[in-house]
Amino acid sequence: MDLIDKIFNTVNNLPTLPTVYSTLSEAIEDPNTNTERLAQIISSDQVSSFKILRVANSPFYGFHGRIDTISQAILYLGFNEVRNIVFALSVINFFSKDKLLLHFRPVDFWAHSIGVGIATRMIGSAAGEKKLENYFLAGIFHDIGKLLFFEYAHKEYASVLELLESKQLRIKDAEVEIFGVDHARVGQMLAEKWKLPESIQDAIFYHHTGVVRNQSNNLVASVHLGNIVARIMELGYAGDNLIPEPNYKIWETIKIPNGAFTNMRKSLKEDFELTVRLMLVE
Amino acid sequence: MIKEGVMSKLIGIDEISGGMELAVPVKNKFGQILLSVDTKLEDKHKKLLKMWGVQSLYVKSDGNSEEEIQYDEKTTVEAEVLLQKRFLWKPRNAIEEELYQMALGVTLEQNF
Repeated sequence: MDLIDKIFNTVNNLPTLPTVYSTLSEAIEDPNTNTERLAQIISSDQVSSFKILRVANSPFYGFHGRIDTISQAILYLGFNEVRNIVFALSVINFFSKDKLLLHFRPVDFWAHSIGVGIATRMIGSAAGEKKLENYFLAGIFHDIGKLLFFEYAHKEYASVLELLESKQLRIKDAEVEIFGVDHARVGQMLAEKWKLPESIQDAIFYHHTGVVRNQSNNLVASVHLGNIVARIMELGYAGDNLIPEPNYKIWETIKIPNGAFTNMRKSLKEDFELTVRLMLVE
Repeated sequence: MIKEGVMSKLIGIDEISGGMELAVPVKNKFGQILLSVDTKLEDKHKKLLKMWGVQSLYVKSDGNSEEEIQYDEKTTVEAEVLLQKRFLWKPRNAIEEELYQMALGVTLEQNF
């Protein structure tokens, strides 16, 4: 079995997602479910619900400490966004955070991912997008394929990290040299297996190009730019420290007002530090 | 570039108000200076800068804001050299130039 098959098999054999997420997803699909029922499912895990409330009160959602109960979180953020937070917290716990591979640490990886999540949402908002649901989650998961390589092809991933250092490559190009595919493809496979919305699958698969099958897409363009901004701001560590060039095509559709990046810099840093503490440390 | 000992801050061009002075020259993508250090900014510069596609710039300040930073010319040049190792492309429009300025600001803060 070659390396690509090994990775694809690994993804296929990964367990389904934690029970609270699966139960929640089923309940959301059920037309008879109400807010109380969903709140009850989430609240069944007290540790999770405490964390969910703290994330829901993060400044980038704009409710600043006014959400006291899971029912309120559902009311203000919507079913899907609360489910996204549950999901993000579940996946962060799903993977080990203690391993180290050369200079790559999962904690730095997650910090980068959270930074991209927050930046993606801020960029979407700056571009005038009204439906910001999924922006945070798409940003958090855009690089999830790297973690699969890291966890399940540890030795080969060391070669990737060595290669990118010696040749000053972007990590995606070093992955293609070693595995034949990059983390965007492997991450999209996992998102498909975990039945994430198609918009998030696209954001994972196309985050390097910023466009979907040559069509404009605000969510994908925002993740593409969110990744660049998080690298500029040195939020966490993505495996290499290069700042990618934006795909020029995205400027045809996503309209960012003058000064938006300059203006978001301070709040992005503050929100990042707070959210990393909430999601990774406390 | 900034004179030694002069405090500066990064602002968007819409924040320009009369009396502000430029702390870092504004250059185009070919490195040519469009506005030099010490230029006294006026409202007319907003239009001019927009026309050139510039979205942010460093102005001198009195040092009362927590965001303010102090870098001399030599330091700024060193930061640009350091940034060139990570930022391997040339900005092609105003918004990309803003990304570059943001990266330069972070590089200065993190390394000097």
